[in-house]
Amino acid sequence: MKKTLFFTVFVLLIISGAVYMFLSQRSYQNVNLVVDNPSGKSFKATIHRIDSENHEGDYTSGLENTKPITEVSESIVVNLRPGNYLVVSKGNVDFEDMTTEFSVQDKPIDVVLKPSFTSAVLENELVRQRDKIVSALRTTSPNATNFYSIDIEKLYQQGGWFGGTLVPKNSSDQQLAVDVLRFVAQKQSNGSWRIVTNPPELLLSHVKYPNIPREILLDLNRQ
Amino acid sequence: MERFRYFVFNHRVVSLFLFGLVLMGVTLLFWLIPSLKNRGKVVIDVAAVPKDAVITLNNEKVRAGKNYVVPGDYSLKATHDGFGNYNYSFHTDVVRYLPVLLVPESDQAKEWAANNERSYAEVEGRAGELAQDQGLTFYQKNPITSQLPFRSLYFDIDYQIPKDNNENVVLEITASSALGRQFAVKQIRDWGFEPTDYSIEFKEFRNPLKVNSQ
Repeated sequence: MKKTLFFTVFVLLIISGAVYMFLSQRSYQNVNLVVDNPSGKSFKATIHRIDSENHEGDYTSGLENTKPITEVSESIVVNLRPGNYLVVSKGNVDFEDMTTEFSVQDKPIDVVLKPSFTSAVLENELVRQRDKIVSALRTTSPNATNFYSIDIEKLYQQGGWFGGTLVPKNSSDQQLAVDVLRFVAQKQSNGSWRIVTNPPELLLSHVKYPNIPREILLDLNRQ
Repeated sequence: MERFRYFVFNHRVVSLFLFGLVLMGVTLLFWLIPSLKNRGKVVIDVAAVPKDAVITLNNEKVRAGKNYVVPGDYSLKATHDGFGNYNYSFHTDVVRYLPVLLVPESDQAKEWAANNERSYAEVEGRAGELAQDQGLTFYQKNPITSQLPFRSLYFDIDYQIPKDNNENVVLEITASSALGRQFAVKQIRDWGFEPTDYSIEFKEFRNPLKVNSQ
């Protein structure tokens, strides 16, 4: 009798444990961390869990003292329990500091990490690419350089995106304001450039151009 | 069988445990199977009058009530003897509740409808409540519309709802000068919205590069 009772309790415990493990395992989700680093230059980041549900405040302070969940230098898949996480990358000679926050809930997610080159690296690269970009602009908008001068010109991320502003050539200093046009170009795999906002516009909409990173459009629209 | 009864009688506690175990397993199965089966699906609630109308979603027969479907485009058809056919196409992102009110055509159907006005009114009422909720959702999704239309000396800002029923509104800025257009963009930022996140049409601006580049 006692033996059977003991056996039953044992089986019950095993089954409960298996059910608990199954359910808790189900709550863990795969996070596909994609490191978008075509340059191949050395990049390293760490993943930290953020305990606070509050999304306000500076998460990066004090993170040095906490043990990261894992290190990331190239694309990997990690299994994480639901919660908020922070990817932190300390900049180096090539890359800017970077923090990316993501949240794990009830399904697998993709998190794309796009480390950006430092402004010094991007400025050097712009000198090399500028003629090709202007040539692409002349091809798509032949009148662009007849009516307008390129004013602000910037490379973004790892030099694969370019944002520029065009100001009318006939504007005088006495005019209070002029209509500034904006355009974005993307570097192609063969090294050439393609104007991806054709024609240049007063404001570039992320609704209209969802494939262009929002931070690039934001920055350009504020120039 | 006799041996089973003997075992249960002599091992009442153990039997109770085993019974509990089986009950737990069955409950778990009943909970797990539907939840796994319906993973990644959305609920489409179909309310039909008359209730026994034959309803199909993309030519697959469904019942009135809650149906779990894979997100996407669907075509609903409903038929019933004596009533006009009902056809409706929708996307699960936009529609989750489908009131199917068949129009009586035969005399018998008209009599049935007259006797069941309450059923029609209930489904219509629920549809009305949802339409109101959707109206509120529109303002919640597009909070900038609560500021519009906005008129000033240098510029006007208004909005349009795109014809494709897309819930992203298109902002319209009407200003005759570059300064007015810049003030309008600044005004949107001053309200706490980011112009980059909207489609904006500048009504009185002719883009010199548009003609040659398109």
